[in-house]
Amino acid sequence: MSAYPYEPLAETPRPRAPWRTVFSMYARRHIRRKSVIIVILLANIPTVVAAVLLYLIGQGKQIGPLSGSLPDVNLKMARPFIDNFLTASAILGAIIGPPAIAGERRAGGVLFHLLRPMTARHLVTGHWMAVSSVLCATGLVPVMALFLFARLVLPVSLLASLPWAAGLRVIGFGLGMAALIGVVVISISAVAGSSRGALMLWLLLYFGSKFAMDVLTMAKVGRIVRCLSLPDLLKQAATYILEGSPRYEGCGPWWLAAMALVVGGAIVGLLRGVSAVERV
Amino acid sequence: MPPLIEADDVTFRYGSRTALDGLSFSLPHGATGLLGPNGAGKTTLVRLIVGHLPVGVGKLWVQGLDAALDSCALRATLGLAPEGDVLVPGLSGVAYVAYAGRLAGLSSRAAMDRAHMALHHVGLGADRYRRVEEYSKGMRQRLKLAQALVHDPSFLILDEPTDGMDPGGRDEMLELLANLVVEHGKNMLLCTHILDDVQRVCQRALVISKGKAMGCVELDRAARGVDTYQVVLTGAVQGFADSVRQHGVTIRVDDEGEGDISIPQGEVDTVIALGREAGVEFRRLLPARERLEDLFARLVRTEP
Repeated sequence: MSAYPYEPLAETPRPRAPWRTVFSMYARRHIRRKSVIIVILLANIPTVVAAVLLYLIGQGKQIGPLSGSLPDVNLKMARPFIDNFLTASAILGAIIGPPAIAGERRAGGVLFHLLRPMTARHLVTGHWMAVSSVLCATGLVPVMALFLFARLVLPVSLLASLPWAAGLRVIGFGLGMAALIGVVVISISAVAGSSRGALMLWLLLYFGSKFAMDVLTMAKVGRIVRCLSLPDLLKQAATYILEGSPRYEGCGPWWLAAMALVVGGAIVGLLRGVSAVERV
Repeated sequence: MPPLIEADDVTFRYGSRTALDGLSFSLPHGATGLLGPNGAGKTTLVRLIVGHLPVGVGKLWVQGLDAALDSCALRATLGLAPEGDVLVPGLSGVAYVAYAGRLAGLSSRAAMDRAHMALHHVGLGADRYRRVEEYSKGMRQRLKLAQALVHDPSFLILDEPTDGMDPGGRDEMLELLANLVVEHGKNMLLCTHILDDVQRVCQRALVISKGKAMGCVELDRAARGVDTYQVVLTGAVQGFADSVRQHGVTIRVDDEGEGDISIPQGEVDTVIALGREAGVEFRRLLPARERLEDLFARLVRTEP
């Protein structure tokens, strides 16, 4: 031992916003995972196709299924895009969410952080930001690129329904969905005892609720249940943000109540997760 | 300079179970071994010191900072190596230690430089690019020390740092810890069940039992060339005590003249001569070289 001398530190450590250090470390780790890269690439194939179609429309060509006015084209592209984005986010959430806190707890990774000048809130916030930023990279960045591309390529005569202000809607959509899915995933990860438990809980919440509501819809329980699964709640919210109108008619109050339940549950879960982390 | 740690009537309860019961002590700077039987409250005390548990009743100051108020500021000045694993899976040894440095407030570059230095210092230089989850138990102990050292803290708190190490590795680790105390002036709180580790590294031992401090014992008298004797004195004891203290002698006697006296080696005859001059008779003068094991057993057997 001691082949190297142990020298005094030249600078005085200045701990500042440790959640940023956690965020940058884990965002880089997530984005370097092969499975994450593959999901992001697959999720963005429709965006690339849309860019090509927009270019062709901009050249004055009529594209079979997308022929018509620009609002029609927007509608035809926006909803599949929302669906793709949410499915990709659910898969990414399953890949990077559960190991974030639950997976590190057994190895002592949570305690490792709490030995530093930081609190459980810093750790959970850092993880939340890291997961949300990866989800943003899946949705917000490509669609903003597409929006800018459309603005720059399409002829002015076709841009009436695509004002610059629509960019704010796109940003709101990307940030809102990433933050919401991120908070749900991280609160599950913080509360769950293990990585596997967190994964099962997330899959149950997302795909299980969708399956259950589809079964109830087929059983003709009522049209309302159609929009009460987690993916459909998110689709409804995303459509509101992007188009300013609901996707599923006739379930407004129910949707609002269910969404409040999801958001409230996520916040409570996050606070419980912070407490769980503190107990380590 | 404030004491390293000062506890004033600290009480902590887990529900109805009392873990610390009016714990009071004051530790000077240097290396201290924290000893006590299982369930004595050692881990609770460490968790209070680092701010992982709230100090409800009583006061606890660490390096002059109130542990109840300044836990984040406090942890910035501490290097902590708990008993269990504290790994971040997927990181290499050097990335792990550098990350610890960044969280402690170092710049990226300084953290990476310090990570290399700390890993070389603890003997993991050749393995620093391996993933931390591949490290053996002994290597993980060294890694824990490296992550505790990376931001150059003035105070190290180490819990069972030689647990799971082979005899050679344990010797190296203890040598390294003693070196950090003696050569680099680090303060250290060493929690361990191995009394020999405390004797080799620490200058004193704080013994706690049933949530109370049973005593703080100086261990380095032999190293400083001081012998301790049990004495029974008659005559003008107080005047004698005042005169021998001027010769570097530590003496503690009660009203009946019973107590102990620590005399620099080779100075016993001088002290006896001083006694004769002061009219004091030595009725008993017996070496009191109590081993740490005996002392520990005696202290924890004593009812608080």
